[in-house]
Amino acid sequence: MVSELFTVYGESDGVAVTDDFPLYADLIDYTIAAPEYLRIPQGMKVKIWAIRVNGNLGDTAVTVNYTHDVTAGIPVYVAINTDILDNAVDSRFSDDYRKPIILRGFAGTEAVKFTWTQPAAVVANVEIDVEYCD
Amino acid sequence: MSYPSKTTDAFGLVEDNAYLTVFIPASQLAIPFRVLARHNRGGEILNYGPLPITAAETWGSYDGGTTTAPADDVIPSRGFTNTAKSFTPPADMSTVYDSSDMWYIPYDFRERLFHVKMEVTPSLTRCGVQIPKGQNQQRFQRDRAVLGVDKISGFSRGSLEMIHFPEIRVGYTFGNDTNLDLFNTVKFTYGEYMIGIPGDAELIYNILDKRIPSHWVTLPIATYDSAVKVGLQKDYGIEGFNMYSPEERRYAIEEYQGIIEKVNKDILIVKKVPTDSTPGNVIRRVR
Repeated sequence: MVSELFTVYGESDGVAVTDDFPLYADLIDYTIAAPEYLRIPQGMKVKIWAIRVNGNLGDTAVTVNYTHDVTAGIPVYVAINTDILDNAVDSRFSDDYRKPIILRGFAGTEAVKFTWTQPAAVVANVEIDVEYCD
Repeated sequence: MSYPSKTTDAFGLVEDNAYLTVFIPASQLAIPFRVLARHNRGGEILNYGPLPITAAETWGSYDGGTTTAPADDVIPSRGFTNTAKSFTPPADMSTVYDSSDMWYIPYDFRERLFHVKMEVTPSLTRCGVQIPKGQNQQRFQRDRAVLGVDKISGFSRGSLEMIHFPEIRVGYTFGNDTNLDLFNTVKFTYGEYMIGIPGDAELIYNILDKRIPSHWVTLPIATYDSAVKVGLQKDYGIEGFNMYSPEERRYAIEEYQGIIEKVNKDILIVKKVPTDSTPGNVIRRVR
């Protein structure tokens, strides 16, 4: 039984109102560049267990986007979950799923990415607990 | 964590005075060993650290062509080993027999056997072995398709159990089919066994017929390379024992007796026969 649970961290750039989070983690080397998506190996799954969003400068929506073919020239992503940090409520938002979002690797070309959307570009941080498993 | 059995402990390693049977599919031969003692009792864990990878090392790519390791110790994204790896010894174990392969020992270490369980983090890493090093052993439909970490099948993810025979080099292969350049670490749980081969044909039959508990390890050897054959001959004087069904028991025992005579005497456990004068051997008189 294969299971690798780790946390990825990302930060919006404060310039664009929407873009994909670069992903940093203890497991990931970013000598070349931080990856912006997680490819799902064939026969494996990615489980998203929790999403935490922080930032007191403005509202931020974090969307989980999934594609069946990240190798396509222009991959087609579908939004499958959105969490919204509303500063009128709190500067922190935590969505801790009792049952995770499950994304499968059917052909090994599937991938998931995390996108921020803001009414005005601000810096916000996201931490996502991800598990690769079979 | 393994579940202890009659033959193995919580590490999944063979207990002292228990049996370990190694089966080689290509030759259909099995070698039963008695583990006389575990040399590294209490020190079974070896946290090796990252895989021996150097920056800019060339790996094969799942996307075609090659890719390179972005930094020391990092598994490149979408990469698989072009050349199987050996584990160089950690700095404070530099006095091992071979400075390029810590698990290799020559045939005159024949009374030793390494039972190694390798765990790689991240556990999604594809792992495979080549026995001997350089010989891919995963096959489909006889030899029609060669499999391995670079193919759709022929690997395990994150862990491997291996027996290292003296004189036979084992190569380890790895693959990473994600898009992430991965830091990694390897943990070995191992037993350096002091072993012998039983000298009792009936006992060997009972082990191979699974009447006597034994920990079985089937090595992924689909092609019986001459290096394996010669290595086993140099190590033990034999390549192993054929396996027979219960109705062939008498024939099997007769054949085993002949094989036992060829086993290297350094590791043959000679059958001990009690005599009347042996203390504790009480002869009951029938009235």
